Amino acid sequence: MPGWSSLQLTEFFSAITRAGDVAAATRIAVQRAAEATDAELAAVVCGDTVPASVGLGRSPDVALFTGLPAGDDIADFPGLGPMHLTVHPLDRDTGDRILVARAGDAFEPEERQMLQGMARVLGLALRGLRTLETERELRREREREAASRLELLEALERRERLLETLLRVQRMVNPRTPVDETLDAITDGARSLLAEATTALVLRDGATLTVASMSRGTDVRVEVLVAAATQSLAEKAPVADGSVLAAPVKIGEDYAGAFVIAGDGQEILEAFAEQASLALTGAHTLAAVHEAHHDSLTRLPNRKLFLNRVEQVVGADPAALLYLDLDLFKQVNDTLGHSVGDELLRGVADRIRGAIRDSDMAARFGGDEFAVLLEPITGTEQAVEIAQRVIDSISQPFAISGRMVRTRASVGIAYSDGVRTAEELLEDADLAMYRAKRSRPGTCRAYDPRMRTDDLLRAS
Amino acid sequence: MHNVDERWFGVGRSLLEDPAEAGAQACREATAGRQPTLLLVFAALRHSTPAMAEAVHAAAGGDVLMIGCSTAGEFTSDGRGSGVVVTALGGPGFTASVRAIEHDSMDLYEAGVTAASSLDDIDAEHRVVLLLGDGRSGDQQEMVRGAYSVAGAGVPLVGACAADDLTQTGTVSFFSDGTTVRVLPNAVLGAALGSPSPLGVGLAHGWHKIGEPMVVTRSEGGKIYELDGEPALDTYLRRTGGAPDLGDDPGAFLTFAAVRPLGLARRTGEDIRIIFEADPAVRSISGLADTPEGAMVWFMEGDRENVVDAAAVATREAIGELGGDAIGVLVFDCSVRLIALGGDGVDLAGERVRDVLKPVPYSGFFSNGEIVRRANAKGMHHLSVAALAVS
Repeated sequence: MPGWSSLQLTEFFSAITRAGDVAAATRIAVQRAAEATDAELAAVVCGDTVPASVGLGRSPDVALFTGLPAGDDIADFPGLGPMHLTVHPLDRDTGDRILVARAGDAFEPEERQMLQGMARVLGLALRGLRTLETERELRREREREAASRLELLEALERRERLLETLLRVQRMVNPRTPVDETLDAITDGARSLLAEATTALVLRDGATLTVASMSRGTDVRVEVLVAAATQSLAEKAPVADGSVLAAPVKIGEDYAGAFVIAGDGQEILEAFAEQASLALTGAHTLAAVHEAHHDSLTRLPNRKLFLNRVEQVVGADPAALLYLDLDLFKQVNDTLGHSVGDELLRGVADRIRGAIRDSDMAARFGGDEFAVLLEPITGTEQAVEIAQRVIDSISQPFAISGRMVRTRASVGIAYSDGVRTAEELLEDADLAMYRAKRSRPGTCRAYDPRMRTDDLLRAS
Repeated sequence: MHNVDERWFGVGRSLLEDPAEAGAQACREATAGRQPTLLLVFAALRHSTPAMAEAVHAAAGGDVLMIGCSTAGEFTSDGRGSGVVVTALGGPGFTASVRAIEHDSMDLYEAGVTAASSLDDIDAEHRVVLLLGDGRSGDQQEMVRGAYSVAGAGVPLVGACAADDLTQTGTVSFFSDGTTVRVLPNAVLGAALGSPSPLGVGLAHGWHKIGEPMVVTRSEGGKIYELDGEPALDTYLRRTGGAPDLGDDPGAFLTFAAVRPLGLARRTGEDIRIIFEADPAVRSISGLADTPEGAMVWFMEGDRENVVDAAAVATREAIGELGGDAIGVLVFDCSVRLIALGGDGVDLAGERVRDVLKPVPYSGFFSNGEIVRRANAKGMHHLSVAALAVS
């Protein structure tokens, strides 16, 4: 049943957050992990000890669990025979792990991913609970220093907030939540835990990596985020480059991208990367992520993805924004029908793609409106030159269903000045396009602040 | 008449008015003069008296292990009724050990641990733990978890929760560890049974999910406050076609909701949650078991034919695990199935079990939750039928 694993993880979260000590947390973990996968055996192994196990009675020989060679996926247990085995680390540094064994079917990737999610949650819960136990121990000794106590309590509070946030995010994630909201819930959730940081999900989109969701708290360039993600994907492991951290995100068995934190967030990085993997695996595929950010007709990025990218570059390199509107499109639609209109829009998208450079980004905003981000540019001449190239290529006739269809584009240009936001730039370019369309359709005009004054004068 | 060198499974039933007389009569019929290893007593609420428990125990010779509980109706190969049903197991090779945990003496998890520790006394090739839960308190799955922590994967857990004739007043348990007889309110009982020949377990329900799923957006334990972000009672009544004011009449709501349960997504199917209560003031609905926030639930629908057949399916599965002939079968059938199927449907279900088993005897009762813990069955089940076949 699709989606069952993320729901089980939600229940696991709820149960584990109620545990008051290490013994209770590990006990709940082995029970829930075994029940969720219909497995006979489960155990938590911490060093040479087994704080909790189910399936082999009250006091099984701990060596049965601690002695299992790493990497084996079949294990023999006395009285039960050979069983499928899956082992999941609770964290990166201690070697603590949860193992689950089942006699029937082998573990599916979705199950292993769910168990890995449970393992991480347990790992976080145990760290919090151990801090709490240390705190209790210290209190008993009555010799602790006020400062260290405060530090411990703060550490505990942080862990509790982390678990609560993960739980909140997890509850949001179900197969009916739109992909966009799911991704935003993860980046926003992680960001809410960090004082000063930017969090992002960088996912594959065809051959390139794009920022699919970002929660911005610091000034960081998108290239930096993408570079960290690229490195993490290449190493298939968490990486740290200065203050930028990245951990891979998987959809099923495939590496789909990375969760990136620009700032101090080492302790939550992997938990959120796991969370993202699980959320995306539960119901979504890369195709669905792509789908959520692209126009289905032309396959161009949609307004949201476009603005995201513009926002990332406007403060950095010189850039220009083109706003395109087709003249005569309505007549094409009305006289030749919507299918010809759709075909024309696809053709226009192809022509725009052909006329711009690889580093530029074209988008469709719906209807007959398109936009292009030119980045980087050497100056205004270069932007005008590319805009003209776009206009010329669109003005060539399109052969659609045996007839020649003509259209033309009016283009407005706005230049980044390091001050105006993405939305403001877009407005400027839109206004310039409107002026071009009104005065000389099929040409381009650059934005000039006087255009606004003119409009005001005319309106008054 | 009986070969004393063989293991035996005897069933007796009495519908006599007087509880003690009914108990003695049922026990005599079940034992037929033989010395049993273990007695199981299932009795209607009005028959669940200390005098009845004493009479059953005495009729079996006065030194015998005994567990039992009140029901929402009992049944045997002779049909169903409201009185006393006694099942006796005996003969060479059968060994048993029993535990009783009084209500509130420990939490349900520890109660399960204690109930299954009866296994400590049993050394046999084939073992099973019979659990009788109280059917009233909290999350009964915790009891099963406790029992599983002791029994492990090698020993199946099977049984049911006691019932109270659907009166919601409380259940009664009957217990003896040999000489003394105890009658306990809302207790948990466990009996480990050992045998040199196989024991088989079966489970079936016959329900399936329908319609679009809903997300539990707010809940606490078994109480669901919101479904899909709306007051749960309103969503529930709208989606089931119930009258908007149905929540104001507890009796009518129970009858309506009991056969319109919710199902939680699980790896191999759905986990059924029976809804039994509404709180019109806060617009919430309540189930007997935990329904966690964030869970996705469906309405469950019972195809009558499959639901009727579930008892026979569970029985056949239990028999199938034996790899040989059964000498008797214990059947635990959910009391809400009485509401869902009506008298005729339940009788038809019984006939089918009889047809599967003929001439092997069976016995059991209508319960408040059925227990099977083994591969692909996590423990507490609802609207289900659990079976234990003995050979």
